[in-house]
Amino acid sequence: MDFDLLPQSQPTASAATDVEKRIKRRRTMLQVHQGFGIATAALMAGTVITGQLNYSDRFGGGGSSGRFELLHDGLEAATTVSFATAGLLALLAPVPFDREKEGVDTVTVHKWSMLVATIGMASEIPLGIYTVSREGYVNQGTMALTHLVVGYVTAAALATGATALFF
Amino acid sequence: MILSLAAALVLASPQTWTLDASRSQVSYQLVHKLHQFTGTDHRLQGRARVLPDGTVQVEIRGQVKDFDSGNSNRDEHMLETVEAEKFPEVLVRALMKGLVASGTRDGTARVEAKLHGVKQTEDVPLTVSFPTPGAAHVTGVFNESVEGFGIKRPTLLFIPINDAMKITVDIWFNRDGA
Repeated sequence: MDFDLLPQSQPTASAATDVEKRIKRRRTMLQVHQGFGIATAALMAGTVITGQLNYSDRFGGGGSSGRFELLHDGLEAATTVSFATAGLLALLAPVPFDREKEGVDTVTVHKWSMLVATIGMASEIPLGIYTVSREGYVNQGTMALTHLVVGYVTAAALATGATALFF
Repeated sequence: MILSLAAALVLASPQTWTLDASRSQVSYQLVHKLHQFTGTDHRLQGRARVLPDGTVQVEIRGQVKDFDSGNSNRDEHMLETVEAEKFPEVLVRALMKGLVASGTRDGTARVEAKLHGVKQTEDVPLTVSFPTPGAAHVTGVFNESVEGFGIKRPTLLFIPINDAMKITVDIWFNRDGA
């Protein structure tokens, strides 16, 4: 259609190439971030399940065989590494466009939830080590329960953060 | 004699209308297997011209960065997806014939939309109403193809969005000089 009713807009400056490079890098990093996010969710589910089984085994009348301990420790370590990698990828991804929009949105929920999950995971490691070190002491059961509860809270924060992106 | 000549000149000259940005919006809706979302632009520019033969020409321009979907990360991703650094604008031109400026009328407009530097043209059903003599309200809903604009469909969890993009138009024009 060959008519113009609005004034012609100015052509954009050719700083576009630099922006393009940053976009490409950001896309790649956020794609990998999603991959690690999915992996973290699966590993977290495994960690929570084996953590609950381990707690029931040790403190819930399960015979205290310790048969879930090694698996739980392995999954916990893998979850932490996967989560940290996903977080670093998101934090280090370049921002190609100026951010003009302020306020709370679903990404804000995602970020705050992941912050809670980060605090949860950071506290679970020393808490777990301390709980194991209390073998034979009266407060080991309490520490194990605390570790379990913090684990559930961390998993809930992770689930909230992931679900927020679907709205 | 002079009056009738003046009247003929007035009728023969095109009438122009300006988009009322305070009341107008255009939104897109995209569907992903896990959710759907809508981005809306309230900061539009537009003009319309009614030619003596009743043909209406419309031109509307929006900035890609002004579309708000309620998720800043998604909006940023959309800027990346449509390569807003190279193609910052959405430009729509429309032609509608035989429009009578009164009441409410359903009609079809030939619409040319330009996004990502690519044009798509199609016939779009629109409803045009004239609530007051100096104001026109245009509404319409139609679908465009994302890939038709040469845009690679964005993904979430490695699943791409559907190709169909639902466009909802709700635009007001004020007649110049009214």
